Amino acid sequence: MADLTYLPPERPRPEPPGGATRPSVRVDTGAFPRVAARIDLDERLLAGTCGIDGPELRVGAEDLDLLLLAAAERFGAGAGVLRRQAVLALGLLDADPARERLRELALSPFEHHQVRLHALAALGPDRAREVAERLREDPDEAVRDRATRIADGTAPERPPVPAVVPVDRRGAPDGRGADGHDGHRCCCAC
Amino acid sequence: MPGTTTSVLRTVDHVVRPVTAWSVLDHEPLDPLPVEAVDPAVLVERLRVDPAAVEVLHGGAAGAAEALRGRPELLDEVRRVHAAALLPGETPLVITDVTTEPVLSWTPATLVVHYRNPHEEPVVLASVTVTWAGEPFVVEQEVRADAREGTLELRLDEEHTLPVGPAGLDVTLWRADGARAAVRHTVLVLPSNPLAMALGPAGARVTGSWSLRGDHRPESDTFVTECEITITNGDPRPVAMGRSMSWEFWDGPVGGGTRVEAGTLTWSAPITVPALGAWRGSVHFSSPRGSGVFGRYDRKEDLALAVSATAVDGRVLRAEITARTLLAYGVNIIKVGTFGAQEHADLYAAVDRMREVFEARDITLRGVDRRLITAAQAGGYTTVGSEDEYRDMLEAWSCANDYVDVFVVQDFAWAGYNGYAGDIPGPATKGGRKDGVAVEKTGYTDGSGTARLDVETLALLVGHEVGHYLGLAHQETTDNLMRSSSGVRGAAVDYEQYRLMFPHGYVVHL
Repeated sequence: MADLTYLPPERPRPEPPGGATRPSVRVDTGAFPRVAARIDLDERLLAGTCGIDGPELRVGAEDLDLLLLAAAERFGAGAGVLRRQAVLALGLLDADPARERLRELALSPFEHHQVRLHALAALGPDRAREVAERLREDPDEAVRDRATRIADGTAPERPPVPAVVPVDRRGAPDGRGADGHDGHRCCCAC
Repeated sequence: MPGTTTSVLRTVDHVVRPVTAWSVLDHEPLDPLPVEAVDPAVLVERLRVDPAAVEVLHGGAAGAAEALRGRPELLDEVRRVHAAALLPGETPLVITDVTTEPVLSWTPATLVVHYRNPHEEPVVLASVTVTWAGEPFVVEQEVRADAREGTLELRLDEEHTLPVGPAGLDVTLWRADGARAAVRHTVLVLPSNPLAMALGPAGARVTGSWSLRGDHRPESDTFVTECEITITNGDPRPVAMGRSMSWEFWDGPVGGGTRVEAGTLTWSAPITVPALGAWRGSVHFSSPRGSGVFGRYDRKEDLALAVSATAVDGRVLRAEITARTLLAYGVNIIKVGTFGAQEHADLYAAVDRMREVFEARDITLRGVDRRLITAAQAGGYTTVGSEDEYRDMLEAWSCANDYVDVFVVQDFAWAGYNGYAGDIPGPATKGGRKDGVAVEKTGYTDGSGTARLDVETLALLVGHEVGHYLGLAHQETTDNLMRSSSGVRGAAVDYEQYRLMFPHGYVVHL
């Protein structure tokens, strides 16, 4: 524990040259109702992603078309979290197109396994079990493991006693350690 | 016998990225081709795959599953084709690239956004969210009908010019039917005056915004201070710099306090700052016990480091930065299940980025232990599907040290969460159902078909959950790390949050 005696006072931060703010410029999205609805939907999808005090995911039947659109956006890192949230939200709707899309995603060998796992979860226990039966031999390890557990109705297997996590023998991805230093540790008394 | 004055341990020249694509974390250009409209031979040639992989894709997902059962070795190649092609019926909006001319300080700039839109509905709205040394701001722009042909320009006008330094540009496009595409692009704003120098901490991707850290090395009883120096050139001609630079550590303001120690350093090779470009190097100062710098660090006092460099044409550059001992905590990064080589690299890039986020508030990492629970060992915990499973995992696995356990799992398939912390604050002891945090790995497939992790999102996600563990609750101020929504979460940590983390049992002074 750090010694509170050494808690430094807040030091003034130099303001960036020209000031610390710039005015935002917004467009009235009233002329583009689907865009406005999509922005609102995206905010709701991402509002509760932390398990601590996270608000529940809230979507309604009126969101179906946009959720199907968002769940199909598969290009680029920027779509990743949002897409998975859309996939999960489809499971909250009582709609055949949503269920059909979730089934397709879960079974698709092309898709990233996180999208497939989200689709499996979104299907709910009964429908997921039916799909999971077909994924017992899936080439993707994470999908196969989860599907087998869903199909068999089994919980994860815990080690018999609390286990120490093994060291990862794979080396640092670059010379610089994650502490920021470049890995150089001098052996002399420098 | 080591001396009792601060000396330069070594200097390192860095390879520098183009100032118009400054961050390794930026999006990679994409250009998916419609699989129906393209000769399969083009895809085979472009992606260097077995023609059968393209054929499998033509069969759609259902047919593919069947085909791949017969030829499972094709799976990786099929995924590469899938990542680079639009399937029949797919009409997504895709930003293929963002380009700029070099951006100069206090000068309007134009971003050129290249996109592919195979749908009949047009792109109607474009926006850029700018993250820089000040508060983030947004510039939205309606897309004119005559600009809807695959390229549009987003302008940062006279009211939105920027000072020298890095700027993140998050570009988003919206189509009239609600489809969306987004990418991140980073530039280094160059000085229009036209030469400038900035100092930053070790390993930083940005400069000039926070403190250097005095890092105590018990093995030699020295403090090592690593400083990165960036010289930027806004002139269309290269600038030659002298190889020597002078440095001074000050107690109190530079020029107004007490000069503690001073010296010169010499780079091993001539320095040339490229035209409209940047040069970066880092210098390691070693301060043994008995030196003035060691004494100040040992008493937890702040120092200021000033560096001065001279161009061959006589121009003098000066920059300064605070140097202090930092608070620090350690993390055990625990991969659960299989991570590919690129995912492994992305994960540790995210940890490095998270370190920068905390260092901006004078808290650093004192260590990163790399740990792995293989899929075979994990017994099903590669994915977390409920709070019980999450807490069972914390209870079942632990690392016997005083670092925060960070489990990075293959997926959170649970109530829309992508991260969770054992408690606020988490315990400073091991064992039990609260000692750790867990996050999903934020995976995606890039345009080449490689499994990647979203480094920026993952960095903020891990930082957010560790923030909980060290005592922080949600805080909904602009750009704060502890915002509950990952859609608006930023990298800011304020002084009150720093004060709250200070007494956690895993936080120590370096």
